[in-house]
Amino acid sequence: MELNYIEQDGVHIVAFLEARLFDDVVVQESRRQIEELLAQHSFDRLLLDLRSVSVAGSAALGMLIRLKSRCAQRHCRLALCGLQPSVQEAVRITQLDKIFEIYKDLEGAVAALQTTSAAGPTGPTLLR
Amino acid sequence: MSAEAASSQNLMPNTVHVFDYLDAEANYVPAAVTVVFGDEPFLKRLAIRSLRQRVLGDESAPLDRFEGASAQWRDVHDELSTMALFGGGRRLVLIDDADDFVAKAREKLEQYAERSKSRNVLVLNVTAWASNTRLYKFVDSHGLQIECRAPQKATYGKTKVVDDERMVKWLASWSATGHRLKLSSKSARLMLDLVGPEFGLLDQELAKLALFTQPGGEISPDTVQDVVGGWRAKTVWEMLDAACDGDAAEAFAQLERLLQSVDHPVALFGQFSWSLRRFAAATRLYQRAEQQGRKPKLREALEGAGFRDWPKGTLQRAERQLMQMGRDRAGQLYRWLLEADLALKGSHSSSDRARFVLEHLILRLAKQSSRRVPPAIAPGSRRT
Repeated sequence: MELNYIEQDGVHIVAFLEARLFDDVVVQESRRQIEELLAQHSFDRLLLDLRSVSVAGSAALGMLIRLKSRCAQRHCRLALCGLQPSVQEAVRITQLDKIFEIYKDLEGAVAALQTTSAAGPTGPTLLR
Repeated sequence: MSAEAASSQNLMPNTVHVFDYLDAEANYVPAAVTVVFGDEPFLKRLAIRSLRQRVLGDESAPLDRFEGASAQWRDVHDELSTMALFGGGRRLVLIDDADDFVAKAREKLEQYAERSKSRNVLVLNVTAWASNTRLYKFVDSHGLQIECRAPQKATYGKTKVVDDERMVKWLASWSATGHRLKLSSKSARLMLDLVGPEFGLLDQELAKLALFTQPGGEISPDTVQDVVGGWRAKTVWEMLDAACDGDAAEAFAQLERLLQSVDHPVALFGQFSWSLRRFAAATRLYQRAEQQGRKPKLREALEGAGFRDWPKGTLQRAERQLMQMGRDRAGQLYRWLLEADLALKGSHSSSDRARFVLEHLILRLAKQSSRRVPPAIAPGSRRT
């Protein structure tokens, strides 16, 4: 599983480079890598860049749920950005849009995460 | 496991359902040969996690793992014959997808099971585990075998169906221990209705619900209705509506939408068959009442098959769908589902072919000619 990790102005960004987040083994591996990053560093703002992802299956949605839960335990704010229409639809119909901060693009997400507190806005923000 | 539970599952003392095993782990000793069998990967993960904890002292401790398709007995035996450097010296050797391995190495396994005095534990993770084999019988009397599938209960003679009550109890209990959520019986039942007896999906939905509340918070039926896979249940209902109404094109469109949300079409079959099995059960109840000379009520048959009027209107909708389906098709549902199930586990297990199985099932339900036949199962009507 290819992931790209960078830090930009205090925002930690993990970009998924795979187009299809379907295979359970691939998804579990990426979750393991991100959880390892979380364990090694004390992030307070984590952004998942999903621009390359065109298909997200239930395993991928499950991974997002687990990561959200893990971040909440670590008081780390988690946001998503760059959702392609099919991924956006999957997130919407599974009601995950109610629990995730979601931004249209990377730049907007980084700017929002930088300017607002680590605790995040008062509720989930949908496709700002 | 209590004698009553053992009897309800037709299991001997060393053969235990995973619910009973997890409820009273201390009563079951991981043996030199331990078997985890059945078709529920999530329940198998729970059982293996527990075995890992008990044998190695830590559920994430490293274990020796082999793939069943490529594992060789001599390599497995080598691992079992040595002591581990850490973790108290015990080893846990796990063979995943071990059906082929068991078939290839059956004789060696029988000899090993009968002669081994090792403290090391061999865990065979298999799907099928026939009770008439020497290995099954030996492990049953001297080892440990954990059944990992949805709990079942007998209904009509030898026919077995998923035991809803045990599922609901487990769901409420697992939500507390696994997700720190309070889930009432009513919420758990609704969740089961929406998702079906798919343990991995149920666990994922519980994880999602946990994000909607504080740790230890209670989840109301309304929240379950709102959050838990409601879209999926809604789409399955709509697909059934369209299929029963003979509108195969619309049913296929709904199927396409559902397929977007799962990794493999087989993941949909659980919920699809969960809904249809209850229609099949209702049809049998209805027919049985007729045979006994009673005048059956369709709504009672549906309730007897497990349908609940939650959310309100569910029973009315189910009644309409069953009437649309008609007696002929409803009477064949069990057979169609069995055929589909066998195909998905065998010749049509690949993703593309599995999709064909679902489409074939929809076509059977949607068969145009049946539309012209008046709903023969309608209350008071008789098959001619």
